[in-house]
Amino acid sequence: MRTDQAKHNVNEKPAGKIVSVTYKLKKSAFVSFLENGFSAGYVNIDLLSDQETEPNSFSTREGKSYPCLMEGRGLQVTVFAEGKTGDFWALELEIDGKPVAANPIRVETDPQGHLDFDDLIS
Amino acid sequence: MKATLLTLLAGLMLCFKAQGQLVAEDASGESSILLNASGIAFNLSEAALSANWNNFRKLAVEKPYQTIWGIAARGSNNEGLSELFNGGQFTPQSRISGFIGFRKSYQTSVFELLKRIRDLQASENFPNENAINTIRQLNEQIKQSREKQATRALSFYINTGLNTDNFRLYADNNNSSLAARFRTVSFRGAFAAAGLNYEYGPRWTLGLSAGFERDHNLDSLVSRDYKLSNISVIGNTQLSSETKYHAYTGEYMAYNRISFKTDALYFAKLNDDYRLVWNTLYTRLFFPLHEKRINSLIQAGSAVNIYKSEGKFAGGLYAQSNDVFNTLHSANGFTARISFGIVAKYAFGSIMSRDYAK
Repeated sequence: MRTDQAKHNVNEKPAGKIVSVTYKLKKSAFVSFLENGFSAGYVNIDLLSDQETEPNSFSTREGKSYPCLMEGRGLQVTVFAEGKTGDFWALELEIDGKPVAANPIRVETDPQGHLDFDDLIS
Repeated sequence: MKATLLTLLAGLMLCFKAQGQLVAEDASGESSILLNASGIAFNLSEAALSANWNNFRKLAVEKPYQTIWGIAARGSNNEGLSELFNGGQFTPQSRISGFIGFRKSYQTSVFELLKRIRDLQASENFPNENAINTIRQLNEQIKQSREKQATRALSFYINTGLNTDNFRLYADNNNSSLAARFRTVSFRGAFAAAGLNYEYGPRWTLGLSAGFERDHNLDSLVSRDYKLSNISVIGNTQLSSETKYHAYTGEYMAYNRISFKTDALYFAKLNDDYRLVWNTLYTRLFFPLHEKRINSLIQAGSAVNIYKSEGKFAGGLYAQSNDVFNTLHSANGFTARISFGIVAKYAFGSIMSRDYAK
């Protein structure tokens, strides 16, 4: 049954193309991103391996990029994070080497302590 | 003012990049709350230099359970920073401590849903239409679940360490020689404490700790400068030499005590550039064990720290009553027992590079 399901899925490639995505992410001191909580184009971004010496900065490692799915309407970016009042994170994305128009995407802590983002970036 | 300038100068000379971490400490640099501050700190009023090494950088990613650890060293001069710079008498004090803690986040269901998304992303035939639809649904579930609950986390830690104090004690009970009245005392103390931190929403972090300490009463002794003159006379010539001593006098004792600490931090945004952490009310309770000559002591205070959101500088002020109920009979007026101080903290990133930080 499981095999059938897998075969079925292979035939249904999603609409869109794979683009290469790089990013720079900066946060204030008390922000923490939920484990597996950062995805771009349905690809998980490995924040712990992208963390710089300065613990509040993250970026795609030299020479690397993430192969992400760009749908017709844009690149789905999802971030789930926590923080204290006044905390923020700011994200700069490049798709195929070009900065996106929405840069920088900046989110501040809401009254529940969340800094979440789920939107299409074109 | 002189101390401030000297400290700023020292900071510039060291060419360290000052990053914004915070402090929420009492006048002796202690707190029951673990904040992700790592680095070097100057407490201008108490002349302390401290350094921390810990794995707080891992807290940039929140997990259902995390282990946190750290070691900290702190050295200070009892006579204050200006004395240190002026070549004054140095009364060294040092403390080394370590802690290990466990942190639990209450977003359990969200972590499970995120894990399911991760598994789908890692599956063999990804990306495919079905999986992407499922991910969209899971993301909606996560959002709904997060709308209902504020951030909450609980940490438990054990903190232990050693402290040393070296100073001279003057006792007038030795009549064989005046110089022998200045005795060098090397105090070796130790402490162990267990604590709990509870973070609720974006504004409040509460801390509580209970511990056992081996301490002494140095702060209740009187500090004095002495000059000891030696005069030698041969014939009609006289030679005099002088030795200066900085010593403490009074009834000295080392004893054991239990301590309780509470802190309540409030986080706020002042404007686009500045943030505030206010330790609304902290208390420190000390109860001596089997030592009737030492009184119980209750301290309380409030500390405000302001920092830039980009984290360039953190500094603040505290007001502390060093003896709330005047059990030490230190001063009759309540206001006379209050001390004020400035705290400035320069924090630095981890010494580990990203390649070794795993």
